[in-house]
Amino acid sequence: MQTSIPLFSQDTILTGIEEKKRQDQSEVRPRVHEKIQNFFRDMSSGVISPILRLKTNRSLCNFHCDHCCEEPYMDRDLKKKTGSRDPRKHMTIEDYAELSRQADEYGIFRFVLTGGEALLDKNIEELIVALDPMKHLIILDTNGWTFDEEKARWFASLGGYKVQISLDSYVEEEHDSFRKKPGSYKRVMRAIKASKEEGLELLLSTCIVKDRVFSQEFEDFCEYCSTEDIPLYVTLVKPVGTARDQDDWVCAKEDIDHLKNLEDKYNIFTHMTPSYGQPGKCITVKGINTVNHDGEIIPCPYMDLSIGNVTHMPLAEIMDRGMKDKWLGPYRDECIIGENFNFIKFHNDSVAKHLKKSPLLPVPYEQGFAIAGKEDKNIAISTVGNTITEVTV
Amino acid sequence: MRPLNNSQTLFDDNGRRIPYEGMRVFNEISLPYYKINQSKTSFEGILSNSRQYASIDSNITAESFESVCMGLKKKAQDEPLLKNLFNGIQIPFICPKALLEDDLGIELEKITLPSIASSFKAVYPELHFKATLQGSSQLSGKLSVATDSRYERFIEAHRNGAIAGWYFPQALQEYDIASQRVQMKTLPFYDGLTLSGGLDTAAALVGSPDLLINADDYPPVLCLSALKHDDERLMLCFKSYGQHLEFWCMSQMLTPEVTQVSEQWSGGLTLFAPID
Repeated sequence: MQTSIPLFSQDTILTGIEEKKRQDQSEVRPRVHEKIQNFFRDMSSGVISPILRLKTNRSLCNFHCDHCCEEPYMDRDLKKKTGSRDPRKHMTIEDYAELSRQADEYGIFRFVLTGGEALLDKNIEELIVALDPMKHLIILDTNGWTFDEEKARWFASLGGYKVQISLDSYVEEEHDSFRKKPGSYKRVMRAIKASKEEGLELLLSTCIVKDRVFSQEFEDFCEYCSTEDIPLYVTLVKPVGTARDQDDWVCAKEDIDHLKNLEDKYNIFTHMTPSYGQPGKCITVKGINTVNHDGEIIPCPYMDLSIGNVTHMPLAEIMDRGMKDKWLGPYRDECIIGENFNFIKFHNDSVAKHLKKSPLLPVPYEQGFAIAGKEDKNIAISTVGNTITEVTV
Repeated sequence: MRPLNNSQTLFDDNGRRIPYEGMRVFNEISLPYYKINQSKTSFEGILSNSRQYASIDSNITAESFESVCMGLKKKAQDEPLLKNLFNGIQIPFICPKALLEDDLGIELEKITLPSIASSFKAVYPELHFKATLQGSSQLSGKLSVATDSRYERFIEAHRNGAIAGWYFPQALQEYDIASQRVQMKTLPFYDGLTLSGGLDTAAALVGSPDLLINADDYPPVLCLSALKHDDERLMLCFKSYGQHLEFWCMSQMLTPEVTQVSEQWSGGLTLFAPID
């Protein structure tokens, strides 16, 4: 009557390939390996080891995509709106080295370099060195435009670990149109080839709008990635940045559910896919944080609200503050900025209110999440204590 | 939050236990973001599933199953403190007599979870049921009944024979695990009302495999808080992943110092009686 079912655990959840990669790290990057082992040992205690995603060079980009969450951070956008560039101080190489030190101390082992387009940053080599590729896995997020064989060799020689290339449609014309950059698709294909030849870890990322997961194009894209043995990282379009008013692009639960079905069929994943032996969930703070060029930490790649500035306060305190925020820390399945209209409203209202006073994003902690705690009772921080009062009946 | 007062109704209009001073809850008044659709499976359908996938005695009839459940319902509705409990989602279930194991972990691993897998896969062959233990945790020899949960009464009845009853999956929505347990001290019906654990919740899922299927909304995470893992950082639950169904033994720690208070986590209550 009953059929036995496998019980997955840390010991069984890693594939042979993942196990080999981890073993390789013990030889190539022993400190990274040590931090990964520590994270697995301590995750049940509530220890986190999120990716830190660095937006460098004031998010400068050579593309003008329809769905860009970064446009409001770019000088070109600020110039259009205010006539002048972003006046805030950019983190220095020394600041990044200090961030790397604090991240290492915290047990963080992954940095993603992004922008805009990270490869436009003239200081990127210095930055990679400052972050220390022997202590952290350095992942390059690129649109692929300039990532040719030479760039791949250069990145690998610096100790770069992985390349994440954006491809928003498997149909060449659609991708180029969405990205507003003719020839972009071909450059992506070149970048894929170059990454493979250089032996870099590789993944493709693609952004889905409502209903795309049901399309033949998306199925073909998944097939292509399986055939080429390239993991496909799927992000949900968010109604922020240039897409702020595009509520109709927001994925419904049926889109997400279908995506989760496809995960059983193809090597595709989202930021909410179960990983590292943890269930699929919104990964704000605990899974990923973005560091703006001025040091503001945003608890998700797609939000515009800060939880603190790492050039002013220690990284560990900012992480702790974020984890105790009622929206950001506690367990929840859905992507709050991609699916939860209550949060999207709170977020976009906070941003709109802030933009009336200043064109500079993100909204500082004191004017966003902190105020929300008082005005909307959204924040748990100190109001929910850790002590259960015994009751007498 | 209001102080504890045992002279008034303990449940709100949606059948959720009203939190009182000292409880850790996400919202004092629960928001209806995480939803379960009331299953339409009949007593006959539930019994049929439970016979097929959970070794329920074939002598038990749908009439006797329904009769026990309706008797419990009347008893609860006659109790002023439990007024409104049946306003919430309510799932009839029938749980088989214990087959072989004394160990709660082994029973879950070898009998209970495979029953759910069979029942779920029979209705949804294209979806998965997956059980994952976080870290290097185990179930065998590691589970016990949580203090205050009253679940020892359920286990005792389970060892003596089959059990029928009602599972209220969202009665303790947004409560942290410790508060789910502590509030049990305030409830009436010591012998027939327990904090939900693995066997009863599993029986509800075997009988109504669509319990966590929701095309439009995210369902809650069903905490099995009457069961305690030796490693007190861990909790047990059933949850959906998309339309898939999953069992997890995972951390309940928000940070190394603080346990989770999640809007999505829900403790359940189980009203039960033996059935011949």
